[in-house]
Amino acid sequence: MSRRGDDVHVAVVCDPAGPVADAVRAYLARHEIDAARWFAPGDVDDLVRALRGGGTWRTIWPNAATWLEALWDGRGPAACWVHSAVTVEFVEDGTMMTPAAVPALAEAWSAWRRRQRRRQAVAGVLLSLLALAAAFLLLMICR
Amino acid sequence: MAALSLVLMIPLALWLGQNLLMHAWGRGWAWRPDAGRLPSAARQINRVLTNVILAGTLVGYPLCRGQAPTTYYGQFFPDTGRAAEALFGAAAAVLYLALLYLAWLVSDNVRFERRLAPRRLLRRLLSVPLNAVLVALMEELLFRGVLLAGLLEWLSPPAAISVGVLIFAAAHYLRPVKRYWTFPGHVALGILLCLTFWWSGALWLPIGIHAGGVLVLMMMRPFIRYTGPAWLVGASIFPYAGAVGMAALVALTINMYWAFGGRS
Repeated sequence: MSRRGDDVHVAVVCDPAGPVADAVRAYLARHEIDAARWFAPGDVDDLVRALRGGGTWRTIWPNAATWLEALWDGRGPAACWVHSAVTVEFVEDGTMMTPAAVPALAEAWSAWRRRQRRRQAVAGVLLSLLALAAAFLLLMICR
Repeated sequence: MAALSLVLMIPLALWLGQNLLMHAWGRGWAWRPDAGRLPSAARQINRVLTNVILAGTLVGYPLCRGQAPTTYYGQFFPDTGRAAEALFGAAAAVLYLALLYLAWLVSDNVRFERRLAPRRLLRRLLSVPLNAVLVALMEELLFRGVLLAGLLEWLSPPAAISVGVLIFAAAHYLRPVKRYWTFPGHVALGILLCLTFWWSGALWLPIGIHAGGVLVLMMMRPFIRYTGPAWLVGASIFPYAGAVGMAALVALTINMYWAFGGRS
């Protein structure tokens, strides 16, 4: 990964007290990164909000699995990670997944997510109608 | 007219109090109440001030009418078994919300996940029941016991209820909020609460519905993440602001009409 200018924001997605935190800190030291904002894996929504705020971002993840989990969990649109001003880096290598695979994976996930959202909305409407009918009838009977 | 004037003076008093605090802490002036701009010490004072203003309004209104507060508010809490209406209202709100959350959970429109550390979560959950009752009691005394009751003495019921609903909904946007699209949801909620007060002639039922709703929303908040479209299921503590939530409020209003509509 090439060095960037000082205006690049660095975000680390890792629990600062977790088992891989030391490896992440070593990675930051190796790449001479002095200032980085840390986000717990459960707070990726906050990182997505920060990315939307603009600027150039270098996001550092302990491994590909952590990034994939955020993706499957629907935390922010996949487009966040393939934006020209955002790069994704993994601290642990040795897996088949490399940052170069991120754009293709994010694109495939976006297409799947669009289909999934339609299904989700239809199921939500149908089950909500059932729930409303059940609640309505129960109250009519009770009173 | 006195009720409307008194309630409309609340935001003015809040704004004035907060700006005095901001001025005292050298933070300049703000056009609208926003406690977020105050330092933490001033925020505590602001919280006390807000409660004093609200309590002052609740006590001051009956006194302006020449009545003791206990006598005035006592008329809205008739005895003879009517207190059970509060339980019925709370149960109805819990039933609707529980079934909707279940439907959304099954259809993956909300996800169940713990969002707070265990100790903080326990503290939050333990405080929810009392907070739900206090919030419902305070808002119902103010918006139904003072505002709507006063408006009904002055205007026709449809006009009084319309004004009461709009002021109730608008009051939730006095301070800067994250979402403004939830306004129609607050209007639908206001219609339900105003109509149940008018139909039942008492505060038991609206307090019960309000408290039941707040209880479920606050209990679920640390566990629920919305993943479905906001137009359908709402967001955060506003599931009633989505299309389904508003339909639920309409259905609950019909339920309440069937149960209490002929009483007034």
